[in-house]
Amino acid sequence: MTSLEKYNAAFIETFDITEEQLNSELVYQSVEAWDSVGHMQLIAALEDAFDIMLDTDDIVDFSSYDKGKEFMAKYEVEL
Amino acid sequence: MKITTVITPLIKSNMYLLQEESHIIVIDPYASEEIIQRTRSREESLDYLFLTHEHYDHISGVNAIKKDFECQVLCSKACAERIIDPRLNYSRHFEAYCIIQNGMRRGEAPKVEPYSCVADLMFSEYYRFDWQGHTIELVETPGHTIGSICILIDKIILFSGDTLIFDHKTETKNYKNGSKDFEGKSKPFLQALLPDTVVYPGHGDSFVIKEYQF
Repeated sequence: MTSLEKYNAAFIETFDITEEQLNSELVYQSVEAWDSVGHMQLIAALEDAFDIMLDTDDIVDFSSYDKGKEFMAKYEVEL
Repeated sequence: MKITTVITPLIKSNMYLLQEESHIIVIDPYASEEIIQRTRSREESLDYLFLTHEHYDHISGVNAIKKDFECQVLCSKACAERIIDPRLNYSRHFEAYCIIQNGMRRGEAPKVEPYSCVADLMFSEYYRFDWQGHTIELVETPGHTIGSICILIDKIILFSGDTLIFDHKTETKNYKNGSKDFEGKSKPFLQALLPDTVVYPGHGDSFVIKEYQF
């Protein structure tokens, strides 16, 4: 699985959404499952997938599918 | 039996002290100065620390209290498996958790080190024993977390952790089958309690269970 596939899988499995929903419109609270609880579950899934530990500020600011990609680069994950 | 509620600074979680004569049980321990002083004085016997579930704000005092006083930590087996893991007990990202889930501002949310503690006594499904003339029943009530339990005393007092909080629907999204477990296992138990059962929740004020809207 490529890094992008792992990144996408985290969203799909955590929020029970389709690949078609992985776009710039996917932001915090844009789908029902991406609430505060879902957000922490997404973070856990990404940390598991990439064996990283996100900073508090990055967790709080991780507001969208696109924004998350920027943060992944910070943790040396190339998507 | 005297019940004392301590509202902790950790997102206002409730810790409870149950006292009968000179014996104490602490539910969801936080290392407040009062508790530490009381345990150090040795005038009272701290018999148990009960954990209603594995979230950090309900377990944070375990290590500090056990350091000063010999007492046994009692929780469900599922809870015991999770309190040892900073990711599963939410201590690892507690600051972010407070900001995102509780609306705290950056800088105001507590910064905690990844935390781990261990249980001494564990049970599955149900455990009953007598303590200082009282009957204590511990019942697994998964839903909010896998390791959640309720503690029923003399059939009429219930410590519910975050399983039941007055005027709040039980949060069951912390794990995949939370809703299914709550509806299938925990809710039937809770609905079968005596209507005048007094509930002492993990957050907020106590209430009578017949007032709760399931």
